[in-house]
Amino acid sequence: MAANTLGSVMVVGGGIAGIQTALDLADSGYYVYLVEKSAAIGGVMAQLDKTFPTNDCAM
Amino acid sequence: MSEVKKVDGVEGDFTVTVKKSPRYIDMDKCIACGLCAEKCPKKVDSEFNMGLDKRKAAYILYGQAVPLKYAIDGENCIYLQKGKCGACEKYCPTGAVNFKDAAEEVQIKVGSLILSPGFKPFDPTVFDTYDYAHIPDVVTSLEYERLLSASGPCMGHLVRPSDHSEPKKIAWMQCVGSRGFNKCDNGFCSSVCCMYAIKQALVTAEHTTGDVSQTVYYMDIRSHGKDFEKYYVDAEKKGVKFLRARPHTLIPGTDGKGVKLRWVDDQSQEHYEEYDMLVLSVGLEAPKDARVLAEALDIKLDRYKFAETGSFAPVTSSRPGVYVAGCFQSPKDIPQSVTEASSAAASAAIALSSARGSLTKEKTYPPEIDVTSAEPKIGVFVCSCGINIAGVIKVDEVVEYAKTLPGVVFVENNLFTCSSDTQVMIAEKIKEHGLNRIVIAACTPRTHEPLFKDTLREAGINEYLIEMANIRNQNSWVHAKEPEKATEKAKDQVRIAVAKAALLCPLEHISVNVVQKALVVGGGLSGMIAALGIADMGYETVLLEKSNSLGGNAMKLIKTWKGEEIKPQVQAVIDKTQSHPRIKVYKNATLKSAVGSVGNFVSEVEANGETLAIQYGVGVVATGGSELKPAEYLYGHDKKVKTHQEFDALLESNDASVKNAESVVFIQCVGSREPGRPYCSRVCCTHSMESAIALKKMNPDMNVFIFNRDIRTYGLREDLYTEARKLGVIFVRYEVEAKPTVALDGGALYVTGMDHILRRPLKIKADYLVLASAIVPNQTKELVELYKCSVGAEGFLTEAHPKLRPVDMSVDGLFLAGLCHYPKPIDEAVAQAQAAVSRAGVILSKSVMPLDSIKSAVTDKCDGCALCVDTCPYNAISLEVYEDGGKEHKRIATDKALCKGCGICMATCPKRGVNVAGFTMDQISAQIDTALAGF
Amino acid sequence: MEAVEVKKIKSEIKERLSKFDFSLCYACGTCASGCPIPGTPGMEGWDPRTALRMITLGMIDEVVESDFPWVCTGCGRCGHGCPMGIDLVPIWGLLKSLRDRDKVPGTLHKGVMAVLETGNNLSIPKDDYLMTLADVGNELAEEELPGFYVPVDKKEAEVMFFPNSKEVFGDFEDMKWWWKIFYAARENWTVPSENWEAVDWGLFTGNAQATTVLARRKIQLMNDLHVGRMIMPDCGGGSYGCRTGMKNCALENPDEKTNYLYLYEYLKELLESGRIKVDPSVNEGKTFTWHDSCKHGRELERHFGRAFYDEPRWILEQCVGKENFVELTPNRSNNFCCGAGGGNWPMPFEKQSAAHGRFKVEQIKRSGANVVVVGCSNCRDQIMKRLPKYYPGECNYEVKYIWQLVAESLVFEPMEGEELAKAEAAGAAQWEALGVDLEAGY
Repeated sequence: MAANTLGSVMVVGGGIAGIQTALDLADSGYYVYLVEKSAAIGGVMAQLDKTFPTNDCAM
Repeated sequence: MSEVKKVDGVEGDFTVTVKKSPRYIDMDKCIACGLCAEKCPKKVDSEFNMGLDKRKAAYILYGQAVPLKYAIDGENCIYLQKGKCGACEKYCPTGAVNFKDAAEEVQIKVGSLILSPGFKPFDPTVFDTYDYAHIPDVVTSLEYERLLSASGPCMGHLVRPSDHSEPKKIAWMQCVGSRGFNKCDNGFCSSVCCMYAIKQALVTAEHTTGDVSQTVYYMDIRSHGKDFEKYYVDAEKKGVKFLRARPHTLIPGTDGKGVKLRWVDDQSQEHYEEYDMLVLSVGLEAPKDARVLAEALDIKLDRYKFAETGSFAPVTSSRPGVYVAGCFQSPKDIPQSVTEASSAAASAAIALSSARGSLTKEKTYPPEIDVTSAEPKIGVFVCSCGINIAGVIKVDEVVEYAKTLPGVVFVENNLFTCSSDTQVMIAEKIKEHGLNRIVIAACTPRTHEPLFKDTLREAGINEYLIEMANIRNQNSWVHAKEPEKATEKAKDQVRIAVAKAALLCPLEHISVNVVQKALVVGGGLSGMIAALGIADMGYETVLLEKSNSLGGNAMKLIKTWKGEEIKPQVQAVIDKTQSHPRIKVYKNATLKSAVGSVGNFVSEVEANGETLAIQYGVGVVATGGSELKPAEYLYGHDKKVKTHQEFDALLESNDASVKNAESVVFIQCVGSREPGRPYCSRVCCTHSMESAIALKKMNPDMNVFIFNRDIRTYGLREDLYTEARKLGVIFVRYEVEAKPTVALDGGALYVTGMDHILRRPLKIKADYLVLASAIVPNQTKELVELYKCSVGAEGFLTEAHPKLRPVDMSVDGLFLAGLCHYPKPIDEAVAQAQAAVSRAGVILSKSVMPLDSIKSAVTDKCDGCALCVDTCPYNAISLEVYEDGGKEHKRIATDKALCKGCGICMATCPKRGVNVAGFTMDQISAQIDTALAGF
Repeated sequence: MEAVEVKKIKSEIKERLSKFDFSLCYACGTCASGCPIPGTPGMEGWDPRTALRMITLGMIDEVVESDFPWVCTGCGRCGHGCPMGIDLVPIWGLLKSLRDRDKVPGTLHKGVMAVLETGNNLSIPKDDYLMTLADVGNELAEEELPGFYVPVDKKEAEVMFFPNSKEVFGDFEDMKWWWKIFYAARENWTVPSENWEAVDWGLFTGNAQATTVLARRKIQLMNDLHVGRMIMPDCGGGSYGCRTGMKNCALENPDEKTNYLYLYEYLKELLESGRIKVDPSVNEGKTFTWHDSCKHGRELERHFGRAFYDEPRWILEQCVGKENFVELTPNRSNNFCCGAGGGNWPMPFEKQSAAHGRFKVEQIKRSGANVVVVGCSNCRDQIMKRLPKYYPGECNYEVKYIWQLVAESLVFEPMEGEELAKAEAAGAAQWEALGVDLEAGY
């Protein structure tokens, strides 16, 4: 552990997991860098039509 | 468009080298008008639509993309490749195109890293038997997902690729690229394919006209998640055919359309089928660049290239300060990914707690324009929701109709009203047309109202000046077969919403002070992990345990499925919990009362005969579950019949009778997946594998049988199933209608069951019979009543949203973890507890928390009759005495932190003495009047 | 129904079975869905999954006593599709080996005994063999190929060719195709005078020992005559059996090996180097397809890491032109067996073998081909003779060996002058030395 701790976090990958992580951390007082390889975040979940078992629209 | 190249430094102070690839579009200038894509002459396979259609070299990934900024794909751009063209640059109205953009490397300093790079869908072209490359109507599940999607290549009206006709007979084939070593090395189960195939089969009916037949070819149906089993049973009832069979070869159908196959049943009978389409349920592999990423970050991967983690630190990679979440850790579904995401956030937050808030700033909004006395200028936004709404309701008609309504000055239809580009647009329209009341005709306010409220604030008007008409859930979804009537109903809904909107008033923002302290109910592993996490973040925590010791079920288990010893680890957690300076543990404790709300709860707790009051801002419920004591298979009648926990105790004691046993039989699903308990207990298959493997290793000559209905060793646990088979454990399938029978004959125990392949009875003299009995939730009746939280039919506590808020409870400020939510193994319980920590941390990190403004308030008509005081379910109303004109009067007063705005008080009051802001009597009357005006 | 009691497998059999990891079986039924046996008359209730299940439950004897391992053509589609990659065919081979030799169906075991004793499956005496070679060769020389003769035991030859006893016994015309090719290429080739049998029935009876002996003989012959390479003709009992035997030999003694050449490699080499030339116009007006045999494709790939999919297609293309070629579907590594594999051409399960071929008949019909080209004598006989008999009216095609197609498409120069005189003299000298009187006839 570094002596001088930074209050920022990098999240690598902007799918649903990365987005949720980033939101939680940002809402808890941390500065978040979200790094995404493609041109937009959303990941595979954005490609899904609906999700089980509630048939919610994934978008 | 960035990738991590290198990570230097140590936990708390990393320097990350990030390579930013050129976008060739200036994000600040791009207004996402789409002209660049329109003018771009180069067509490229659309990766978002799985290559089913084309995008341009200047593109956005998808319509609702965030950020909504175009990009130029340098590898396909004609100008960048050949130096000619430049159409986009010429037509871009803002000069956003920048061909000189170049890749750059930047260095960013962070305290932690969280990796969530996702997964790679398995490429089925390696299977010559399925001939995916040559049969157009054989598609992967992800392609099928795009074919179903309203934003996909066929706008949500399913057609098959070969001739664009609507398929009527569709099959799914499971475990393609999962659970196999042939032509791939994917010994794991991808965890989600059974469920997504069932979903696709069910949803297909909504995307086609007329009858459709759906068949799923499978090995084991793995509906092991919460409410999954019911979903599966429901699909079966709705006519989805499930065939436990595996076609070997797919061949093109007549004229190259559709697909033909042959399958052989377990009695060696052959069957021939022809389908219009077949979906390969492809597995989830580690991301393509997992190895590169692991090297850049110096973290360890497992044999399948997923990130290596331990059961007691399920999101912690092998490098301190680097965490993982989602499918990179192992294949998993959305709820589990979101849970892990929060868990990873908690892990990072705990490690960096000393620096919390040092680098962030609050979001600011423009000053609010006061529209209280302004004439209503109503804007109506009608959502198509892809085809979800527009597929049934004629949105154009609704739009035209809305224009005729009083007070309405602007109406517009959007493909997705919730998309971020639409938010920008709504804000612009508010400013442009001076709109001061907004009606959104779309879906449910439950999930989407916060988004639109924020849009209103951004536009400078009070966020409560909005009304939603739910024309999706309450209309298009339920009236799909009556489109005409649905359109009429949508008009009614919009008219009602407009009537109310006209009367909306801005509401004052209110907030509560947050008590930065947590209460954790339940001292099992989940409860302790939650308490430790919150305490490690720096908040005082009280832990209640109803028994006289901590540890719960975990102390009865031997090893995790990954092979880690459990007891020493749990003991360490117990010691840490008990000695933590910020944790106060009460044993033999029960919760007696609970008042207050998020940020400020007060409870009475009885512990060791004493009563004490505890004030806390958030609560974590981890009340656990327990092993069902079976009422069948001679359990309780013969000592050779044991439950898992009982047999584990025997295994641990090195009992000679176990080692010398000739045969041990396991029966799965005892008490699970039956009408009384229609859920899968999730952990029992894996538990039986562990026990069976231990037995076979102890004595390879022992006959070990596992009677099962489906083996559900999901994810990497499949390796255990493989190992068990390799060691010679024999698996026999039974149907719930024909369970194995157990009988005693001269003191010997016999288990008889039909062999599912030979169709002949197998009779086994069993030295031990182990029943994999269900996990049932511990009783939570009092707790549920105290908090007014919701609970499912089987007694498991309910989360606010199974996917998006999987650890939040229905009551704000309360979170759940562990078996009280659903049966789960240790690693998942720990992840969930850590996720609860993260979610709790979001609240605890603030000293003041804004509240919803929908609250009841006394009016001048109140005469203090106090009828509402008794009916308020949240104890939010009290009677107060005041003086007026020298006389004492009584009237009610509402505690705004406790009030949920439910309106029971208002309904009870005979004199209009109490009103709920945002749902006033006038507003509701207006809605009813206009609703009835239609008749 | 009588309950099954799980039996312990004899440790010696268990040991032999253990190398197959068959207990990994999911019982998913992929093997069964890909196997021709379900739906085959007389085989009700049998498929690879059932057989494997019986082994799992210790019911070895029941499987050994059944027809299942014998009716299986060893096509290997079961293992090819198995998610666990279990190699099932050798398990059936092991079960075949467990049957008493006097209970091996039909003439297969007799053939194995014959080849071990006499050097060929049909016990053709050496004199008759040589006489046939001389006589048929002579006939060919007179009709088409001036100067042709079959070189026997020729030292330092480039390639050694092993005849199929079926052809030597009666299908004389079928010998001529290769001979024409050798002639056109002016190949320095030879055949052995003894132990010349190409076909190995040991492979079909689970007799690994015989397979090894037969391969060892071939290696021996090659070494004795200092011949560089042998051509592996035929598919299953021919090249695949030989290859298996050679592997066993090499395992026992690393020095026991020889150079070999698959027939496809050889034909391609001749065509590519220009040593032979073909004229596709002679095949105009017909549509050709290629039948991938199991033992030159899928099974060879699995066990020896190499399959011949592209070579025969290339050869066909040279002979008939790309436009006259159509594929069967499925093909290559997932192709259907003709139904004669595993010894099912000579074995007494004709009905079953014909039933296996139902997939072949259907896929040929679906392809629209008029000519089915094959690389194996059993495939040829099955597709050409047995299938039309059982599926009258549905088999409107011709069948040709790939070497027949090459031979029929050849453009070659007959020997003349000095070359011819030299060849004729050499032929006459050879037969005289071997004591074969060409004038005597039969």
